[in-house]
Amino acid sequence: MKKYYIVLILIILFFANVFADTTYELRGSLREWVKVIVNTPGKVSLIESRLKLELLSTLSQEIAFKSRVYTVYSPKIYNEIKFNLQEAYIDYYTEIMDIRIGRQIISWGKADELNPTDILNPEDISNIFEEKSIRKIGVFGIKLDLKLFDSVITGIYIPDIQFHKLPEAHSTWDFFSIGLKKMGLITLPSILYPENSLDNSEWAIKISKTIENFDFTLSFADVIDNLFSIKMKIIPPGIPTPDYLYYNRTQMIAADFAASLFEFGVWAEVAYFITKDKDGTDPFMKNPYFQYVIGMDYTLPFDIKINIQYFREDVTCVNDDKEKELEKKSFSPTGLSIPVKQVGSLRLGKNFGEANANSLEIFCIYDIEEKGVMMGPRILISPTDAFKVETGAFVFDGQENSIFNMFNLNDEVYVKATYSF
Amino acid sequence: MRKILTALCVMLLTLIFISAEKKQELTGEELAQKIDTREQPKTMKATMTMVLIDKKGNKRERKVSSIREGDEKMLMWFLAPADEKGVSFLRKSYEDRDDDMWLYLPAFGKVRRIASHAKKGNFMGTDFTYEDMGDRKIKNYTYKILKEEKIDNKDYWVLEWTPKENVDTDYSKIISWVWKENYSPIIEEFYDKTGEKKKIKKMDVEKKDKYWLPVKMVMEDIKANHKTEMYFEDIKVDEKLEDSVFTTSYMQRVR
Repeated sequence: MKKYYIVLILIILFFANVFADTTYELRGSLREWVKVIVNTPGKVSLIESRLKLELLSTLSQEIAFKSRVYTVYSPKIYNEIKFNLQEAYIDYYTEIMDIRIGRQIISWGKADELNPTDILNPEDISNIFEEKSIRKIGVFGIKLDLKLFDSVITGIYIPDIQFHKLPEAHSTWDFFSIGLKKMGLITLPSILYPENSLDNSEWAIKISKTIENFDFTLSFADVIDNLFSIKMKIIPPGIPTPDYLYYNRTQMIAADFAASLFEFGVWAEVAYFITKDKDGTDPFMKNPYFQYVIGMDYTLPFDIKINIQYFREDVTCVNDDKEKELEKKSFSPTGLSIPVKQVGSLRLGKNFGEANANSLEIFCIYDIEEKGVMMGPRILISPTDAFKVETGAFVFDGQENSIFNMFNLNDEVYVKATYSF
Repeated sequence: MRKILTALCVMLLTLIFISAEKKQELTGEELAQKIDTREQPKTMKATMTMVLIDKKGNKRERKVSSIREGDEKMLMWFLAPADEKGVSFLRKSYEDRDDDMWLYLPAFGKVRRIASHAKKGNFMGTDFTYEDMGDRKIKNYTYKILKEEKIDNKDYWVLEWTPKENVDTDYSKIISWVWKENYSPIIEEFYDKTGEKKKIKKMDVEKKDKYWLPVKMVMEDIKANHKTEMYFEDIKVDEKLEDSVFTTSYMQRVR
């Protein structure tokens, strides 16, 4: 990874000599984050220092470079300093087409956080409360944006496949093992990674258009799943046992929109995932499934902002009731890989103080099917520009079998301080 | 007899002159039209420093670059402070419907459409709302010239703007002091829905080439006892801009 970064820097320096108008800019932030588990007084679940450095360079009007590197020391999660090159790419702009080559984050979809269509970057979910922009793992790819008749057609080719990074087994936030237990599985076999060959490349295409006050997008993606499936074997006298974990190929057909309607902000995303188990014969591989989210935001009196979303997953049925129950419990290998099938989320927030730089917010996500809840109140104070202190909590509760109830001994409080430069 | 006829002719001529004079008097609508069509650059690029000052005199500074094409299209991006850098804002105005507004937040790598409810919110913590940053459509108001006034040796028309029914705005009326020299609204008072004075905007203009352009703007929120001073620098006018500049793709690459 370090070699790759050095090579990119050398390329930039080469171009810098070729183009006289080169400008450089270095910016970033330092964030300190401490989390303490409330139910076990004094148990610290995270101490993390995260240094973000971004190098931006414009070689000419047409060529630019950007990189983002995180250096993280988090002794509760990793035993060493982690170096994460999240993005490092070169942009080339022409009148009708923009080209981006390199490691990049590709954001799709219009919803907040719950984005079923946003599948091209897997996520590091070893700390599930990390910001989504940081959780995303950069992928090496080529992206083309073709401007055509007031529309933008985006094509992406990703030869370097990456996968979700899960929490350590049996660690505090190992929601994955909890989910597998619900499927009746205790131990997991080893993972069989797909070969790093061009046959396993991913690609996607998207068309975006604005009509009146609606922003529309239609997309198709052919990808390797971000999360593994379980291959079972039958051992005598006919007991199904996990054999190995593997990654399937899935196609996604998706659409989304965002609009301003009667003063409300509204948006929706829908994705249909075509898995390999189209005939519904493998109970441990999902049948094709839908995921969708609809949402709205509005400003209430006293400048209180409200944001509501509803998410649902529906697995297509192939007349095999035995399989249906098991599939409902299983993780979705791509799209939103959270082990809930129907949730509502609510965010209420208010900015206050000098330059409206402080904010008070409460976030709540409710599992409608299993009746579990997670709440996250927080207060953010910015005593001066570019410096923020945030404190908040994550609280879990719910019915016995809900995924949120399984974390009810993990209620946390935290403090975060961020300095940007 | 001749004297009477002469007196009658003089009276008649005076009457004709007075009515002609009356006909030439500007109406509120005409003045609004003149404000809207006053000579302005086709395109304008500028860097703006915004100083936010609270009631104790504490200051915070924001620096933005902006490009605009008439009053219809505007792209603005933050240069400072560090945690806002790269945030960009795009607005497109239309005659027959609400403005389209988008915000690009680099931390999320995403362009977000701003719904019209957010128009009343402050723009990035300043005393300007999204509505204040937008294009005030003259067809949405009725007008009345309240008086003419001389301030610091400058002659002004005092024009009242009242929003028509069903127009979505945060204000019940706006009163503008329009400088007769160039039809620029130099001072503006904004009244809230209860009819109380909420904010005052003052503008300094200077002539650059053939245009009168703002060099300083101060928006003061009287109720909150807070103000934002906006200074315009590096102003460039009538440079050719590609249409692709005012797109959600372009707003992600401005720095």
